Amino acid sequence: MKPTLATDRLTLAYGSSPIINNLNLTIPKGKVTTLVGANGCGKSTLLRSLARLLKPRNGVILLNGKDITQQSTRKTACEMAILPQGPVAPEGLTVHQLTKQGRYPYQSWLSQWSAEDEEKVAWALEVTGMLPLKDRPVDSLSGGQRQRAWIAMTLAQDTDTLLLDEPTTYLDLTHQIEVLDLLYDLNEREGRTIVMVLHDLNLAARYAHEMIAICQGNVYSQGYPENIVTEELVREVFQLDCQVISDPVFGTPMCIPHGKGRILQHRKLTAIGG
Amino acid sequence: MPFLKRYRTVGLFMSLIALILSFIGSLKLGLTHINWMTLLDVWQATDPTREQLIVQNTRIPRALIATCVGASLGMAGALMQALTRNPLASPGVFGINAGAALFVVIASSIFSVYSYVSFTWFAFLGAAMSGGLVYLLGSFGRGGLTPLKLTLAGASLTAFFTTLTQGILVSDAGTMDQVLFWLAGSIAGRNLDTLIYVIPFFVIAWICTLSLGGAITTLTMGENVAKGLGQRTGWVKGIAAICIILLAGGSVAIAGPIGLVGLIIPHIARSIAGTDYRWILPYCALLGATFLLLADIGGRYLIMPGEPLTELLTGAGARITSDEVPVGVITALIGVPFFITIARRSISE
Repeated sequence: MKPTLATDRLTLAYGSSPIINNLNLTIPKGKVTTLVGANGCGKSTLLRSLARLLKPRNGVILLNGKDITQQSTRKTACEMAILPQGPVAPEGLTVHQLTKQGRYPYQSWLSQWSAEDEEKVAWALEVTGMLPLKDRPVDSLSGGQRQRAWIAMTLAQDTDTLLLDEPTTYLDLTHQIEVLDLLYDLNEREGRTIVMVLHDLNLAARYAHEMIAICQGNVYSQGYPENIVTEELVREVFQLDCQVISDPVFGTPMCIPHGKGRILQHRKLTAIGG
Repeated sequence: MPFLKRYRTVGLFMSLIALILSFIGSLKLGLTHINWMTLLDVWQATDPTREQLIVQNTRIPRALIATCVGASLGMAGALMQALTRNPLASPGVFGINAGAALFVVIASSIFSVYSYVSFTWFAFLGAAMSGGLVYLLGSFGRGGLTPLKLTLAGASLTAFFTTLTQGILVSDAGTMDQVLFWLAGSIAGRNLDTLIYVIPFFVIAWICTLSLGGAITTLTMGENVAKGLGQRTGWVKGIAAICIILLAGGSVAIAGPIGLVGLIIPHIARSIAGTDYRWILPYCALLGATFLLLADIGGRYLIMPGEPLTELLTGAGARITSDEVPVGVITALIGVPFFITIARRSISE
């Protein structure tokens, strides 16, 4: 399998303390990949560096086989889009204007707004379901709609690879599913490579073909969620005792954390911890 | 306001007309009555009358200065508000005007420099230094650069620079006479020399600023988003910062620290032009120039001097029109309520 993104002995650091050390990683093309891990494990940092928002201290990042520092950032933007965590649109910016920004890497002094630009923007608004809302200011939308508007912008960028940093944070469950379904469809229909950091392990396991569990700046394990999500992984990566069962609807791994809470009478016998 | 957006071009044209009318008003209105015939004859007068001399030597420089300085301050304010994503940003609030003014006063008081050429360079230096300092102070501590910290840093540096400036002036009566009127922000009684020296810097900064419009719009979506879209944000911010220093520093060198133009104008421009800086910046230039011309005209009428003939013929020296209210006072009178409104709104958000 040809990787879309790969790192070679990647070291990342804020200041003097390294967060990621000598990491080798490959992300498969045409799949949904999720990065999971505890807070502060370096998963967002890793995603930021893959998106060239953070300069590596050492090592290289390869996008489609080429070192991303060796090609112009504009060219990279035509191959890979990034949606950072919690983006804020300027007051009054409409969904349509936001989406049009996705064509930024294609604009220059010589080539102004083209028919192709117009077409890609219309398509991005269409697939995200934002067409009816396109003249609304982004700041007047609900959380889920807002996130879809931002995704529309990254889609207008027309890239094969899409990176998203916690796209479901601050969204209620309905909107989380709405956003993940949209991304899943994009992968299914268009074969786009999707890489995202997700907090919710169960949703990550359900939507991802490939899961990368990060622990203390290193890849703890990588592979199909059903192969790698185990009680041991959750204990090591999240420092949490749990029981992993198969999702009764989807069959994907589902993690039930141990800990406290109400236990109903008839369950008492089988309950965790006796 | 989508209907307004369709009329952006019309609006820009109307702003241009407003600018031209204000410019003519600035030539015609004032203490000395100038009638239309006199004004029209100014251009070909071989033996000018006293009124025509006033127009030539006082009013034309003044109108040109108001136009250039107003446009520059408006654009500098828009750039700063976009770059810092802070609705309160402007050369006045962030201490850039005060820093430039301090350096000019230091130049004339300590280094005994009096040429407009050196004034200009000291003003650029002061603008750059205070801009850098505010940025540095604003990015210290947790959370990096936040609007609140930037505003606080700007406010405290403004206070500090103003105090230093006053301290120097108090101990140096000679300099004080020279610069007091200038320090209030005035475009009256200036000759064109400083403007002619500064204008190449202004023109470069105007061209750069206007051509940055698209990139600035993308940058207002956040640095990470802009980088992801393939923008070299360091370059865009660097060029914008140089433009701000040239625009604000040049304005201070010519007219002293005129506050609040850079704060108000971008808000008005945005309310007409929306979120696209390719439109906002030209609007800022036209509206800023118009605003300063009108404020200057207003200053001529606010306190009507008791004795006539204060408007003298020479262009040099600040005392000749000292019965007028300096334009910096007028912009402050209009701007402060505006500032409070924006501050209240952005804090409640």
